[in-house]
Amino acid sequence: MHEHSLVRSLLTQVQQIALLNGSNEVTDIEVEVGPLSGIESSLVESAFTTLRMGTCAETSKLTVRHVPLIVACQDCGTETELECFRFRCSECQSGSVKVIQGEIFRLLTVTLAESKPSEPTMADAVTSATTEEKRSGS
Amino acid sequence: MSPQTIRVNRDIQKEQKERAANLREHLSRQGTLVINLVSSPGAGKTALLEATAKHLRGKHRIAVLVGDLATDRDAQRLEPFVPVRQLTTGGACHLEIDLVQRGLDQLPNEQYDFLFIENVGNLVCPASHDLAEHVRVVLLSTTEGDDKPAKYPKMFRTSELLIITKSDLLPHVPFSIPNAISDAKQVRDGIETLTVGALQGEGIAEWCEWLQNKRQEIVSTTA
Ligand SMILES: Nc1nc2c(ncn2[C@@H]2O[C@H](COP(=O)(O)OP(=O)(O)OP(=O)(O)O)[C@@H](O)[C@H]2O)c(=O)[nH]1
Ligand SMILES: [Mg+2]
Ligand SMILES: [Zn+2]
Repeated sequence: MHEHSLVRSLLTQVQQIALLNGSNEVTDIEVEVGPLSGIESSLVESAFTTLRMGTCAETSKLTVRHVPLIVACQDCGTETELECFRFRCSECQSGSVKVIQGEIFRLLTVTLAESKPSEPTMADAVTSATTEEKRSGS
Repeated sequence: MSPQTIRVNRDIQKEQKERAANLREHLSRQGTLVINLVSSPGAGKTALLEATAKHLRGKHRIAVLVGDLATDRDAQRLEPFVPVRQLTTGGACHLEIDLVQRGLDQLPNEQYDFLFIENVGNLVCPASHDLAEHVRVVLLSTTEGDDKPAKYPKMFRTSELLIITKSDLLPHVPFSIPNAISDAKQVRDGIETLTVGALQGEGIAEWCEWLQNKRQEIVSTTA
């Protein structure tokens, strides 16, 4: 069970974001998991309930969004949503497919109770770095 | 003062993955091929490493980092053959990159041809952690059933080579090598396979040859 260490890392990142935005209270956190994230969402939730104590996310609500597993065919380009772990292209049956969604444990959004509007946010810096990352799974 | 939602959209393991990628690149430049050995408990990782160390002795410089929840028994088994450091996880069911980095810092400062990392026996959590390996190798023993690739897809999906171990026990157990391989190919079409019996030495020469070829392919081109 490695959800503890992943949630610890999640909370560190959430606290950094709150700090950078001049807030000390987080109300909502949204994360994404997929069938190949290697994460059990009930374990994430129970780890979160324990580990948030004493942090700025102590009273926050965690929402876990589940996304389907999608692969892109390296031969014909078709994208296939997989319902079971049979990694084949639905169009040409090629096994040479790359996962493009459903294998990452991702922090989507953080909602802060209050912030100083003049402070710069981290949003731009982080979003630009992640559009590319979304496609870089194996 | 109104609530503000910040769109982050970031892989929670991004930083660890970047650290792993940097270490991998550094070790490539030193000519070191890193192998992450994963399996369920008792599939024969340490036995395979003992046989491998004996076979490669005198031909290649090798070192081992071995993960364990609490003991240093595996390290003791390997010590007679190879420089080894124990990575005690303190109860955690998998290794992470910072533990590997620390173990590496404790090894004699040499340029190794092969660095083996024996992960904690577990087919789930280790699948999600990049340890700077060039190749992930999954072991499946004939005594644990041929259905594991279907049951633990992520581990087999992320492994480049499947080694079926304890081949000497095949006559005694209901294990079909073709079934195991065809299930593994469902999750990773191009997965390579080998069969070994570490106690008798069966398949060890082929495995060592696979390692040498892999090192040529990956490391020598970047060195
Ligand atoms: N018959 C037979 N037994 C083997 C073989 N390889 C390993 N074993 C036995 O299987 C048991 C477990 O082997 P280990 O090498 O300790 O397995 P491991 O994967 O390192 O185990 P953990 O580190 O505890 O996860 C030992 O009793 C070994 O002697 C083999 O090729 N044939
Ligand atoms: Mg062992
Ligand atoms: Zn296709």
